[in-house]
Amino acid sequence: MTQVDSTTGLSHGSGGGHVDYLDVKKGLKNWLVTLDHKRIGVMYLIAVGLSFTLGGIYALGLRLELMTPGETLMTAATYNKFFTLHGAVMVFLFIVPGIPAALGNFMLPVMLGAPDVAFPRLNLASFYLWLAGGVFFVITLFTGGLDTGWTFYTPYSVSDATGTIYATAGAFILGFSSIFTGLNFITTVHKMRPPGMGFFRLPLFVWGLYATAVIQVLATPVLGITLLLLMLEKFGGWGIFDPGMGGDPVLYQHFFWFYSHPAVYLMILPAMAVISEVISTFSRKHIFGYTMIAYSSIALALFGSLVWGHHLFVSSQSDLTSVIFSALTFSVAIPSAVKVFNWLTTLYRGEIRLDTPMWYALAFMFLFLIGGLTGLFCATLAVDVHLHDTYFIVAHFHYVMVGSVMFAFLAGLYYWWPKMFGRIAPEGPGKLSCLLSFVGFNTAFFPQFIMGSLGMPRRYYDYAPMYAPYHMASTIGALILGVGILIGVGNLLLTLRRKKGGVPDNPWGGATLEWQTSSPPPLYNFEREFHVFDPYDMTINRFDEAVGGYVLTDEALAASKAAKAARKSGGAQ
Amino acid sequence: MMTQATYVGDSQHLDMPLDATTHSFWMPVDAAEGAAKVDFGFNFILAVCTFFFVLIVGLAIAFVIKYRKRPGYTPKPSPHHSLKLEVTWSVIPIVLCGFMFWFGFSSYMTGRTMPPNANQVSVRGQKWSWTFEYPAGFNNGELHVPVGEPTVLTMRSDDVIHSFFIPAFRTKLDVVPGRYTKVWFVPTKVGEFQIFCTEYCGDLHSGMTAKVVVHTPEDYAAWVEKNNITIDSFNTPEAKGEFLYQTETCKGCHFVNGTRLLGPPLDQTYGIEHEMSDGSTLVGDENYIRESILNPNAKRQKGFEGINMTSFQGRFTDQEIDYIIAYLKSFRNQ
Repeated sequence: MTQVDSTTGLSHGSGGGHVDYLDVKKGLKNWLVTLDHKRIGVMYLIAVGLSFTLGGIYALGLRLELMTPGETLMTAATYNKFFTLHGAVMVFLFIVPGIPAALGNFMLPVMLGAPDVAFPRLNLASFYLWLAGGVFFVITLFTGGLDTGWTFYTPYSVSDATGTIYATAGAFILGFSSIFTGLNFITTVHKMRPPGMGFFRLPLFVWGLYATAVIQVLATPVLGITLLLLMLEKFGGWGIFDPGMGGDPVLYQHFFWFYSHPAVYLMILPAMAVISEVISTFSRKHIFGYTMIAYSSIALALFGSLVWGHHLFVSSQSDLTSVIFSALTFSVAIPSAVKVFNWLTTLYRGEIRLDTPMWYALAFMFLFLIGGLTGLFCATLAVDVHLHDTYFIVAHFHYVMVGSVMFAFLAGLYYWWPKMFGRIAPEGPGKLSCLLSFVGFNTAFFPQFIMGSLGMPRRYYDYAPMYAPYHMASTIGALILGVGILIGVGNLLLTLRRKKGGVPDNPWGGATLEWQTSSPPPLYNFEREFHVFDPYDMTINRFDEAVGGYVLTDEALAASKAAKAARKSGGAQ
Repeated sequence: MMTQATYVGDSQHLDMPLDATTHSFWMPVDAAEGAAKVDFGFNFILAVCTFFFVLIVGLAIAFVIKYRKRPGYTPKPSPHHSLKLEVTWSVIPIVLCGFMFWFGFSSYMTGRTMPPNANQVSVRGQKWSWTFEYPAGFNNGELHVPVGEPTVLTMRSDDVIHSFFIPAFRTKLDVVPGRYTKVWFVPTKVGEFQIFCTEYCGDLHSGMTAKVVVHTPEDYAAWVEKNNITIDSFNTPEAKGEFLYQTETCKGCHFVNGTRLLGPPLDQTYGIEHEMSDGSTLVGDENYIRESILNPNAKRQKGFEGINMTSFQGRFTDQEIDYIIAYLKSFRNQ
């Protein structure tokens, strides 16, 4: 269980003035050795934010190069390095750790009413592993001149440079960080729930993180195995992937996607989980179909691990294999559809507040619908043969991985920012950023569906004039998107210059436990007694003009006290 | 020197538009049997997606407007789960997905079942060009096929994985080193169509294009007749060497007009002093040329660091290497 750190000098529940986690022990050194999951979450947030900036700069470079046919900005060799760096940084350093490591680390224990995660030291170790892996990875990418794409397909990737091995080693270290975080979260969810919170009273964000953690623990080791095989081939002369040594290059693709397809769900599940929280809270209504949403997270984690072969439909894998994987791939459509219908029905007869987090959540629904529905084209064998490795695929996965995950990340940031930092970001710039990002995103990526189905292959430095208008639109959209994100993030960061405080415990009316502690929370999260309710029962709150936020109703408090007393007498048996 | 220099296609076709007059909003021109079926599948899925997209976004917008928080509005209570509803919206997608799967599966299998008695062409992918080997024994840089008849392509790669994609035929398959892969099609329209490489293969990936030319059967026979040129069609070693240069992908990276492409110009190789990347100098001779063909990255000219050529070990016989040397020497004799 949680190791209470005696060196912080602050005992849990000490009376007197309220000291939040930001003020406990200031100074860089105290942050770097902290075992507080909230501070670790904030450090992750800074780190993934920097990674996103780096990946974003590469994205803009790519789009500027592709604005016109021929050489616009850089040579073909530089372009190839750019798209490799863009993909690798965005996937391994931003999307995979993004929501679970930053928002999840901060919110998971608070949502469980726990003082910290189950293994706080392991949590800090995960962060430093991530940092080491990330630095190693970025250095390799820069010095190794890796130009293989983020997928490192053999034999191209092993034909000359050793860059691939180092990059995979970086991903390997990052993988361990991911596995440790996963173990930590699974243990925390199993062992640290408060009395009265069974599995089916967990917030859906926790369900999403739990399903994510299961994938992290089960799929990530395969990446490590792949690395070991690459090393055996490179240094031991075993022919595993290199056909020149009797190996099979397509085997590598199986290994790679055996990890990397579940990794897609590792990215989208926490994003969906954020949306479940935001939509319910801002509709002032119980989430519709709680049990189905919870089960669909587990179903996605399970089915998502069985569909990797759809990346290999035209790879020369056997026709039977392709047919089986096509059928399995359709199975992920069902839990995804269930989630969307549930969010939609949650809006029905709600009392919808349109604050910035809700704007982002509604934008998410729109973009995820497009991203999810276009997946049907890719799952249908004969249609995918035409669309495979074209811009249609690029558009499809950007709608899911950027349109959905990034918009959900921003929804979550705007939603929990008051809780995390004790400041509420102004609504005007927040909504403007959402609108610009939404328009920019669709302008950037929708034309890619059209040029993709017209045949434009991906990873092309140069293209025929007939694709030029689509590329031009896409570049303009990317620039608008860049401005939108800049405003959105800048708006949040600028609040940090203001004095903290004066933010109500529950500004939005959420019913999950994090809204029962102060904003920001104290070191061990709860100084006051908290009350466990159904996490989506919005009737437990009422708006209090004096506080400027939502407070528990007297009826809810009385019910909670009665339930506690009943548990106490029951537990004494 | 050679008069019949028009017999091989150029690997750079980026200026060639994909028949822009006939493509639809979503799909390129439909020029092979089965393409219409793929388009039908695409359009069916598009219709289903559009329906659900409009339905869900429409309802979401309606709900947000109708149930937004405002003075004087009190929401009516509504249930937060309904087995009937949840079963309905699970079963309808299952049925639709089942249909999509079945459609994709059956048309895919038709496309994977090779017909007997088809025309045979071998395809060789190499960084960064395509070579087509015809049963009559000659090679060409363009794929020429007769209309209305099935053609089977047996494909292999000499280096990394490539992917052979003809958008107008809706066909695509990876070309993998160490194994053969096969695709087939029946072209339905006479004309020229684009071939792309769609598996990333390095610096000039986007230049690894070619064209497929669909002829009437008579024109096809005439084309074969005219282009049935092999190394035996030439008498001098220099001409045989130029033939190899033209047909064995050398010209994908090397010009012979004194300027650099991805690799050094071949007319400036023999008998000229080169500055090497390790600082030394050497004069291009027979041994340098031979080594550069068989072990290309052993010695590099300055300015070509980091660009790796595929070895031709096992591709050229000693005799053929002699022809190439003769061709490269010929530039000094002019």
